[in-house]
Amino acid sequence: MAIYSFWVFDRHCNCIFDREWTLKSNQSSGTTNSKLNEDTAKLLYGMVYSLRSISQKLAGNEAHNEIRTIATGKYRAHILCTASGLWFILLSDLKQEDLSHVLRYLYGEIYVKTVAHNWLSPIDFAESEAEKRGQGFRKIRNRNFLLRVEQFLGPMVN
Amino acid sequence: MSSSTNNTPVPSTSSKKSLKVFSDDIWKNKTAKINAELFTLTYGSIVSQLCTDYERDFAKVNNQLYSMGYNIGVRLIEDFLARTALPRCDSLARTSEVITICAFKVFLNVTPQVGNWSSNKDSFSLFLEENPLSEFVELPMDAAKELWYSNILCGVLKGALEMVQMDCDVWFVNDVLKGDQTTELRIKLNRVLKDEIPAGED
Amino acid sequence: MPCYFAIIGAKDNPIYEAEFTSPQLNQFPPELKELNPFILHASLDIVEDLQWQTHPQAGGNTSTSGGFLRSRHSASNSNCYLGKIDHFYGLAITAYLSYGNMKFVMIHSSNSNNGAPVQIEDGPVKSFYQEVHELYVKTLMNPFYKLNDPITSPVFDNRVRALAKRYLTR
Repeated sequence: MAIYSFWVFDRHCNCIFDREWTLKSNQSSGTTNSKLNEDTAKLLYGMVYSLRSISQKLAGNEAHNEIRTIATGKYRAHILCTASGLWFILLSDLKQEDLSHVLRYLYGEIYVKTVAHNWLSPIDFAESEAEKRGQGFRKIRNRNFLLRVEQFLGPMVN
Repeated sequence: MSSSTNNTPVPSTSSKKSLKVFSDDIWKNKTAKINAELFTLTYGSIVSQLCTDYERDFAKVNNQLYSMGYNIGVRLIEDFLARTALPRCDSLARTSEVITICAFKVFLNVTPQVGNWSSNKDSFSLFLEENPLSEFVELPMDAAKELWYSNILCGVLKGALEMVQMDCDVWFVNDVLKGDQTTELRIKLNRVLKDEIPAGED
Repeated sequence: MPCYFAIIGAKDNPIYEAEFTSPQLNQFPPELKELNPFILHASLDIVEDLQWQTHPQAGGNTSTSGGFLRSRHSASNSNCYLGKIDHFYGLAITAYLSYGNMKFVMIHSSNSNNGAPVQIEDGPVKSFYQEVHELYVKTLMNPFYKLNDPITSPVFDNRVRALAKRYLTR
């Protein structure tokens, strides 16, 4: 089982968390919230955004035609879009057919419990209008969130 | 590049009855419970402390409760969505069912009745037959006119609905604590908000 | 029989009082009526004595089950009821003590004017106290009520009077 990276986007189209285990910029297994990832985040967002709107248009009047996975030649993207506008995206190797249960866990057991239920943590990461619509730069900084993501996904990386 | 999608993420909850079964299960198996008296007393002490702190200016207390509720709502919705995995509602009628049968059940273990739909179907009322927040409560004389004791509920609904892109007004119409026959809470949908799109995409 | 009932707070401050009479029954004589609060307060010392007693009283007071402190050995609140604790010229005084040190005290007057001492029926009187205690706890749960404040709620008053009708002034 191989997971390459994990991304969270908020309702303002901003990437509020990213973790790429494939980046070997330092000796540890990767870097958290790397500056290098900003362009990758935008491209990933764009890809999911486009396919998501196409799939919804193709569904016609029937609502809720959510995109779940996208496979390319090199990796598979697993996507969870919540009704509140959060996107959780995992990139894995092609052998992983369905990681929706992993995404559900990341959302329900980790994000909700360490961010949404943590009253001293912000829930909206855009602090002004200028930081909305993909222009934001703030990330989830909660230690518990970072730790639990690492504990949960770490063993699945390779 | 191939993509796979799914038409009905939660097929089991499409009808009202299965939504009830589904919600009962969440209440029974996925919800941590606390003692009802502790809950009621906690909320009561907040309200009565606010009345003291705002020198019995009940309009201010109402506002404060509302904004506390709003802050709860914007967080609680994530908890709700994580537990239920429900998609956005396709009609306000569906929203009213999800709020009463599912959300109130899961968080307060009560199921309010829906009624008083406006003719253009953009607003409705929730009738709370029992209100776990206000058990034991008797309003003092000076508060009976102005104070909406459970106003926090309006804020919670406002905040939660806003997070699923529904801009609503939520307010109390009646409260048995004030001597009314029913406890009635009104929800009016102003508009459905558009999801944000990245700058430069429009 | 007509009764005068009061709840006395921890600082000997009355927080609720009521007189239970009914048209068919004798009333408190006007000159005695004014004395009721005094008679009642005079018996508080006895309540406090009983409160710290660890052993049942030897003989005499048959209606009491003994010292309040014994109740730590039993799970029920039956020891809260102290029974008849005092008398005053043909009036009998009963008391009930909550674990929060609220004193429920009542003066019972006789139905007849022949000066015969009042007979206390412990059963109904105890039930009355226990149910009033329950109402008091509910009042305490109201976030707008502060401990040791006078109880002004008409709902409480009505309920206590209904209990009195059921248990005392039949």
